Amino acid sequence: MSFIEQMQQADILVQGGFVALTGLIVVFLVLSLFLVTIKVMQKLDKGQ
Amino acid sequence: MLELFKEIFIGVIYFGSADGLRALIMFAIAGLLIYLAIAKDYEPALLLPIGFGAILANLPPTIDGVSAVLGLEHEPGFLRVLFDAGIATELFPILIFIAVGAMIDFTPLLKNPFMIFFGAAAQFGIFITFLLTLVLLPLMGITGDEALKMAAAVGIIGAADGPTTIYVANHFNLKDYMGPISVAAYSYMSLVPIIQPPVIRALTTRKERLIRMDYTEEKVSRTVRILFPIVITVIAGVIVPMSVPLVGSLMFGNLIRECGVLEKLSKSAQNELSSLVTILLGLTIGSTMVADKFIQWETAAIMLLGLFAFVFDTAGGVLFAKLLNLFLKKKVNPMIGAAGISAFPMSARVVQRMAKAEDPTNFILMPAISANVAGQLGSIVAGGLVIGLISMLIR
Repeated sequence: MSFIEQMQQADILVQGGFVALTGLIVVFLVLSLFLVTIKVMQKLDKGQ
Repeated sequence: MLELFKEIFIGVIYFGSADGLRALIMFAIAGLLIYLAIAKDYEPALLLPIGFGAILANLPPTIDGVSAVLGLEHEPGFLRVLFDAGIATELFPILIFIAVGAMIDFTPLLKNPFMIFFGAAAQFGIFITFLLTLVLLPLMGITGDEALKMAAAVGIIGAADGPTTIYVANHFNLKDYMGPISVAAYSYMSLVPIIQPPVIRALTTRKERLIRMDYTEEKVSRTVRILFPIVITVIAGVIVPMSVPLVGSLMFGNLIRECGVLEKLSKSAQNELSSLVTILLGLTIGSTMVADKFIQWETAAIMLLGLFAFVFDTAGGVLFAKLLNLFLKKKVNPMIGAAGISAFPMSARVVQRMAKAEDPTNFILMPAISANVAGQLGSIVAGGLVIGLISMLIR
């Protein structure tokens, strides 16, 4: 593998790392938002 | 005379060629899938049509050298028509999600919403497998954008969710790998009772497996059950727009179920729609398992990485539960974390069976079901995210 190819591969791996980390964090964030939504809906419903 | 003889027995002669031998190997693989479906009851609704579809697609070509069921681009056979109409347009996975939504009762999650975090943690396998695949693909000569797309489709096998896997693979136009990716997803889903227990046992102590969990029998009003699918769709649409086709169809199916005025439609979605699309989806996926595309090293690598994804999903869920226990006063049974994958309700049952094996009076099925339902949401959000993030990078 040439130096340029190695650099390209390293770049792809960095991008992959970004996708993996961002993906996992955002899944947690979105599901946390779902949790808050469920809690709010239940609170509002009980308040009625 | 010889020409006539050749034309009549073209099929028999074909099996003497190298292509014919490859087709025979595909018949053996298809036979194995059908055997697993019938004799072992492993996801029979899908493995059987997939197996039969694979047989159809590998039958000898006609006189013109064209498969009768696949046909040509401009003169398609019935399986290509189904592929173009249902998979290439992403219609079948979406219809399956409407059916799944109509089947799922989100009440256990609404009663115990804290369990939603396990649905996120158990997606760990997707992302770690994505990274591992990216490292391995250059060894197979796949680099650049193709590597990112392929890694995404292989990683998403860890969603333990067949339609999401097919949806993502098709989105990245990986038709040649659709067969192995789908077969890996559905086979491992059916093998959850075999894959998960050793991973759970390796990561937990007996003391942890004996932890009991309370289940609050809180009532969930009809209003909340109706609002839930609508609000979740809107939130997903705003935060992760790429997940909307999946979340939206799942939630639409659920709304039909919960609204209480569309019982006939709900039953149709749960039964007729689900059965019909499952048959078509299975057959069509099977038709992508053509010998020259399937019998290659990439298939073995995809199967192996798919297994890796399932193992790390399970490990991610269990380890997250153990991490939470460091901070929680009332500990959770870490086995619950393993139920955060999307294989519903199999994973929750596996966890309950393991808890019962340690202590016959320990009943953790309901929290496990809550985590399992959360896994359904987690997997489709992860699928949408993977599509969104990769599309952003390769734009």
